[in-house]
Amino acid sequence: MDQSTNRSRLITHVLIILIGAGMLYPVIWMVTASFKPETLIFSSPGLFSKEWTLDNYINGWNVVRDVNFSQFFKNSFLISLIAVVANLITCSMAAYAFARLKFPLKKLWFACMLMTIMLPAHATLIPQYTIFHNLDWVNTILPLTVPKILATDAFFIFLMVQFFRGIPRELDESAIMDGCGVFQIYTRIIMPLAVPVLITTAIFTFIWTWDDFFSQILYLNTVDTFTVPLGLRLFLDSQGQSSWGAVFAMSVLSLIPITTVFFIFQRYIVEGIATTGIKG
Amino acid sequence: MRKVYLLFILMLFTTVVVACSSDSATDDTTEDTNSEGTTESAEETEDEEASGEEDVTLRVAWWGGQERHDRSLQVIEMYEEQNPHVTIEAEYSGFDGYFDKLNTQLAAGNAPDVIQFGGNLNDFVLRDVILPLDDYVGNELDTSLHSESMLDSATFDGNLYGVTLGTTAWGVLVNKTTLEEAGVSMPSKEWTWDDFKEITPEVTENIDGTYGTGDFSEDGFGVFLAQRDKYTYLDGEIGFGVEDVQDWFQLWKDLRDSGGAAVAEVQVSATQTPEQSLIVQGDVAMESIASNQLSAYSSATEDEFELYPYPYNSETGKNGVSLRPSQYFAAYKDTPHPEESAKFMDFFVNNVEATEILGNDRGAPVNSDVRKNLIEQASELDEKVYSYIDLVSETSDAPYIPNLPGYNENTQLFTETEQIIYYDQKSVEQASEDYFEELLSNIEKYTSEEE
Repeated sequence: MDQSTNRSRLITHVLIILIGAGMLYPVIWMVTASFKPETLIFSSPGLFSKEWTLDNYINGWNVVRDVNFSQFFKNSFLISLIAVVANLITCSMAAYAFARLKFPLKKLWFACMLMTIMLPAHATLIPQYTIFHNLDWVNTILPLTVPKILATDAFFIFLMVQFFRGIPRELDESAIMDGCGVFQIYTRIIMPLAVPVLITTAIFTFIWTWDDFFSQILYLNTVDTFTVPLGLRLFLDSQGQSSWGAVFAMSVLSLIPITTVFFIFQRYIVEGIATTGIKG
Repeated sequence: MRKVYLLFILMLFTTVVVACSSDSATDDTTEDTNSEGTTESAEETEDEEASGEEDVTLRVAWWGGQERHDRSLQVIEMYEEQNPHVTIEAEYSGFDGYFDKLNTQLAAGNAPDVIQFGGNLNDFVLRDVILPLDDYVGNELDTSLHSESMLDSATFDGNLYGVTLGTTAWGVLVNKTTLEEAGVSMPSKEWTWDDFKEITPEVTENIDGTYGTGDFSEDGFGVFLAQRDKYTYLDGEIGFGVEDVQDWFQLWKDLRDSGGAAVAEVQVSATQTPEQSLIVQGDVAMESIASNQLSAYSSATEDEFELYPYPYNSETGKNGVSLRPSQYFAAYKDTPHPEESAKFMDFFVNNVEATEILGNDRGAPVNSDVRKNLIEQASELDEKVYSYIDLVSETSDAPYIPNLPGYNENTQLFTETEQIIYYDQKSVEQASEDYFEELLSNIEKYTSEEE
């Protein structure tokens, strides 16, 4: 009896480990490839190599003249940080209003907000670009950050509204008894109870902004404003010579912040999503 | 009931929003051409007021890899030094997203002044966003030493729209290391298809897991036609017949049967990128490539490669290889600084020192003097490319033929036909006939669309 459960456990574990290794293989391959000399990456594509080198990292870090990857990391961090902070503050405020306050045409505005999720990004692309161009914001980080201050990520608002609705109204009522106003209910009652959903928002905003490519290449023109995803593309030319070694090396580096963030906060993500009422 | 009400509002809004957004998009573009006109003319007057003719900022955009960025930036620095009144804003990136971004910029009237294009220049000329350069040729822009066929390739309706940044030519890449290993001696550079049919099975026989050659595909077919004094499509006419298609596919079927060419399973696994190509992976010993890709192929492996012209057609004595443009620089139609843009393009392709820095990255230079100068001081690898281009431009017996209309669709059709034959789903005759028929209807579709 005992033995058979042990054995079945062993089998499940071996299976899971094998599947896990299979899924991790591309990542592991990338890491090892980043330490191989350029000529060996594709001609001997196994995990092991007869030679190991750090050249890819050195060459990759100094992408082009005058600019190196530290600039890209700085830009990416700045944009991601502003996006995270702005989203946390403004989206939670908007969500609080939708979940708790009464105002005219509330349903309508809520529907409008949901509509912005459904509207394909390509439909708004050119008008949006034109607006930013007329504001003279192209080639700055403003088009990438200012909208976040205006709570434009409707998905997070929706996520938070669902979460806030789950917080008992009795808490609000007792806060009112104690003399709290609308704003104090938000800061003293709702926010402290909403930590899981806030962390979910923070992590997703960070990952999505860090990985974003299209809006960044659209609005950033010169290399000194480039972010990490754009920097990585500088090595690649589908029709000519690509520096694959450097791409792999810098990709490894660019994964570090994102995996760190994920590993530190991963248990909150599950909690945040599980308690918002959006359930599978 | 409430739900129905909510749903109704939602639908109403979707229609309103969608209608508005498409409205505003068209509004924007029309408005844009207006506002753009005014802002740009405002800029222009500002420029003029500020400094007579000086202090110009030119935006120059290109895509490429690390190497190209470095070299182009050096040239830009040099240009700025020699022309202190010009500041150049370099907007470079990888290939991903380059044209998406450009299209957005064009729609918003914010495109760079000088833009790099590939073989798709004609699409943009059709959209009327490219500046015709004829007014500047002979003044700011000197094209007297450019090869005629390259000027032709950038000429549409009698107007010149771009300068060719580099020329390439199809060639056969031969893996010297493998041939030596197989005990096959290197053929002469004036080899014929008969030599080719003889050598390739030997390689397959002598080395395990390596085939003599990969399929030359559609690119090879173009050269094959030129060897017979035919062409794919020029000036609204198709220049070959179904028998040519049949001969080409039969040639490759014979090669596969004799063991010279890679079997179907290997051939269909081929990818476009140099690093993962069959020849770099060691699956084949020969492959058809564009000459400017030589260094990309060579640096992806430790084997030694040699660039050969296509095998000659022994009946006509032609090898059919011609020069092809790799990329162009063209100017944005509404650039506030057309003269300065033309001057910069001129520097980029005609200045001896500039072209020395640029080297072979975008292909061999179009300017014959510049190319001679480069050959004298080129590295071993580049020299191979230049002398190959020189060989081609001297011996070239074929005109430049632009891509087929509906290029992507027709390439797809060609590949499908190849695969049908690989797997014996149809006879060569049948597959060729079907291909030809469908090609004709494709071309008709695309040309009537253009009109």
